[in-house]
Amino acid sequence: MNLTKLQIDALNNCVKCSICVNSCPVASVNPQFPGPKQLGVDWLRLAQEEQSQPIPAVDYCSNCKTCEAVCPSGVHVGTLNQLAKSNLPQRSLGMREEIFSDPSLLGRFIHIWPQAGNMATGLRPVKFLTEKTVGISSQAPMPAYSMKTFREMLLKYKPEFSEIPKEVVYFPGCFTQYNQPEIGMSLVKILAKLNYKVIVPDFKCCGQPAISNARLDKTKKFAEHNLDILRQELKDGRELIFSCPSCLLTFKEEYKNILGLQEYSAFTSSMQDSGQFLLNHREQLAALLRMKNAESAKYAYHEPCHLRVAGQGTPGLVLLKSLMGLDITPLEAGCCGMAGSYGLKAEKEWVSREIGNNVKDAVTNLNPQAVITECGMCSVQVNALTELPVKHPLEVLAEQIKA
Amino acid sequence: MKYDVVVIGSGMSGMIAAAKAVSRNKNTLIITKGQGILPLTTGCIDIWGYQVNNPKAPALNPYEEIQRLAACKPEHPYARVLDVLPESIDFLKKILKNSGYSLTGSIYSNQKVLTALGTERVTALAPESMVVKDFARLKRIIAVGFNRYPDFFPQMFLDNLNTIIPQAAKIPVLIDLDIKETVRSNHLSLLLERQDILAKVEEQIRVQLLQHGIENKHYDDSMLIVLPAVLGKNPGSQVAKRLRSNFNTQVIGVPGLPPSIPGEHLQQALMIFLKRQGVEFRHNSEVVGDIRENGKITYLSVKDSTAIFHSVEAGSVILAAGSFIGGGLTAKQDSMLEPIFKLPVINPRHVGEDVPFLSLEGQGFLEAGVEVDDKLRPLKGIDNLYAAGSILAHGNYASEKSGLGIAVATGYKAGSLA
Ligand SMILES: Cc1cc2nc3c(=O)[nH]c(=O)nc-3n(C[C@H](O)[C@H](O)[C@H](O)COP(=O)(O)OP(=O)(O)OC[C@H]3O[C@@H](n4cnc5c(N)ncnc54)[C@H](O)[C@@H]3O)c2cc1C
Ligand code: SF4
Ligand code: SF4
Repeated sequence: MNLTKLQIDALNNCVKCSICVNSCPVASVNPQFPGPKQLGVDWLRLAQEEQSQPIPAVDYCSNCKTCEAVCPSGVHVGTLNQLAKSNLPQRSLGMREEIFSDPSLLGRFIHIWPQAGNMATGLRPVKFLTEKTVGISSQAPMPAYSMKTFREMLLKYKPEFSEIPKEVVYFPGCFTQYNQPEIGMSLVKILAKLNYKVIVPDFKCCGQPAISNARLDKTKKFAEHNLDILRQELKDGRELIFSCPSCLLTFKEEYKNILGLQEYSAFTSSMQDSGQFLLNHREQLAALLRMKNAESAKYAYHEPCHLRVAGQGTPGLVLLKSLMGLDITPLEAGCCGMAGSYGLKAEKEWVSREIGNNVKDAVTNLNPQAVITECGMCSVQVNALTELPVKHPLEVLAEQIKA
Repeated sequence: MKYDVVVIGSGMSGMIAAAKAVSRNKNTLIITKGQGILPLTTGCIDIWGYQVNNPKAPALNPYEEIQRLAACKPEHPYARVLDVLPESIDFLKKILKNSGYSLTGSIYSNQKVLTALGTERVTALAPESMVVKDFARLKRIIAVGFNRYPDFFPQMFLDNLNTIIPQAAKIPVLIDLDIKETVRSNHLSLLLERQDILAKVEEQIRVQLLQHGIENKHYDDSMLIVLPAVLGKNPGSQVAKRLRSNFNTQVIGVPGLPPSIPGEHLQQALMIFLKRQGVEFRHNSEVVGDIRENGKITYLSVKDSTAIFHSVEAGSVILAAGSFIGGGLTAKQDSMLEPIFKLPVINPRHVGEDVPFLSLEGQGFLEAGVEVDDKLRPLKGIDNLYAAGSILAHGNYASEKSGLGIAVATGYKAGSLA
């Protein structure tokens, strides 16, 4: 077995402290899941000596990467798990994994007639059938699809700039494109006020869903397409911003660590979370805010796991708290359990829901009017668990910008 | 954006430093590569374990011993923080209580807690769920294990306990929760949060005790029910309290091999507190160097998990990066290194000095670290860099039983000065 640098580092640095296992949300609810240390590091060690198949339970790893954020030794345990997962013999049909590994497929399909799509995914007999045939849980909360895609809305939007605008490249991601275009539109509108023109090239899905669904070949295809775009667009100091933490993490990290696409290194320092980009303009932004309103709405903040591991802090929270002065309290209740399409799968839905109980309890204790989070699928889960409205920080910020 | 205080590391020392700094209204950021080693601890705060004049005897009053220590070993980290020692411990207790983790004990006396091996451990502060009232008055000790849970063996625990609490009758109990796999502590702690499971556990304990002739009327304060330290998922968990009031006996959870659930609770309690106080965090990021100007550190160079470098502007900096496990210190064949600021690392013991592994003195390398002045500054000529926790030289947590005590006191002082 040929080891990459990442794998060699893992073997050298892991001190076997088991802190990762202790923190793994899946391991704590599911005793059949041995946890990251055994599945990632220990397996890798074993695989060098003999031709051993990965432990099948690795399929239960949600790729939340909590293990990576807590490891005191900087081991990429979560990434090792995904590599092991992709070495599993593929499921016979794997139709569900095919569907989930490219959300834009389903998005484009449902977009033909969104009402029907939303209705169908909500109908009980349909749910029953998809569970029995494809293995998509009938209990899980399905994300709703928007009537208009982000791209359609963007085409209609014609901001007026007082001077020649600067330019910034934006990666909206599938959730913004098909499910919640308001997130992207909020960003575009805020940036217009800051005199930025937002460029949205014809990206493909970031490929994170394909990683979690053990379809690395697809991720690779997407990554190569996206790389071509970056070569053309990221010049003259243009930056690339994201509103979805998982897309950001995939571009920044997974293309290199999982696919070994070193060319991305040239671009990673131009990538950041849109919240951070806005924070870099905090003075101009502050001037655009309406008078602080007297409303005393109470918000809770859920920090998406992938934002945490991306290592850029929680700029969205800082925007709402320090800049806007909102009453917003971090839940700090860990992973919500959804992990992309993980919580939609019939055999994993219970794992996902059990993990989410922590978030649910924390929200119940705080009793806020709404929950704020950056991640689309987190918002679907938190909404289903708490029945509260869940918003992206950009949406809340955009509401407070002067007309 | 400039932060007033930037803390490197999120172990006990870094988190206390940040808590103190934010309480002084400092705009505070923690940059941390991973979690600290709190989950490896028992969840008890050791302050000082033995008598300075008679190292074989356990310390009765840690504070007095530390005063003695400071007089004869002025380079010890405690000698640098004597002025704030009691208040730092009060500060810790207060903020933990805020998140539901109640510590019993004080800096003026040590107490004994039991371990999963059935041995005793001397410590200063222990979570309520570990404290036994009056060993001498115990008449019955019930040790409760779980089927397929490998970290607590009731019979072995009770056998070893014979030397410590000889007078009590000892009864092992084994609970079967009908789980086919090996059960881990984090899973068990989650299960016990469920009312139905807890009721099942209670029921099985009562039934098995009845077989030993112990009836409801025997349940009182002289009976101690011992479980592994898996009593609940969150720091504010009510599992121990519930069991106590339902049984009307003493109930404790004893810590076993690391990682431990109480240690994890400590970690969570502090993290929740800090985030809610507005301390910002940059997880999964490593500080790799700094920029200095006119005797001050002005910027830190930070590498995120993707090896992207960011620079962070800092008013002052607290180095709380731990020792060898967390990477605050690194060891090469024959030298030791502090990788961020390249501070000189001293090792008070001779390298290779022959100390038996489990000796009272502990391992020599534990005393290695960086030296600081009375204001916890490790670098002459740089007056806005402070160091705290196990990265400091001359402390030896294993033999002194001083680990988290040093982390709290030095973290607190650094957070007060920064
Ligand atoms: C197995 C074990 C059990 C113990 N049990 C107990 C006990 O029961 N009671 C007790 O009182 N003491 C105990 N101790 C001692 C005690 O745990 C330590 O002394 C104490 O936790 C040290 O805390 P710290 O904050 O200094 O370091 P750590 O907890 O090691 O934290 C260091 C932090 O710095 C971060 N870091 C390191 N380098 C960088 C960098 N370059 N950039 C950013 N971040 C960085 C790490 O990720 C980590 O978050 C035990 C120790 C061990 C090893
Ligand atoms: S991967 Fe990291 S957290 Fe897990 S056992 Fe190894 S060193 Fe510990
Ligand atoms: S990525 Fe998440 S689910 Fe997978 S091993 Fe790590 S912590 Fe567990």
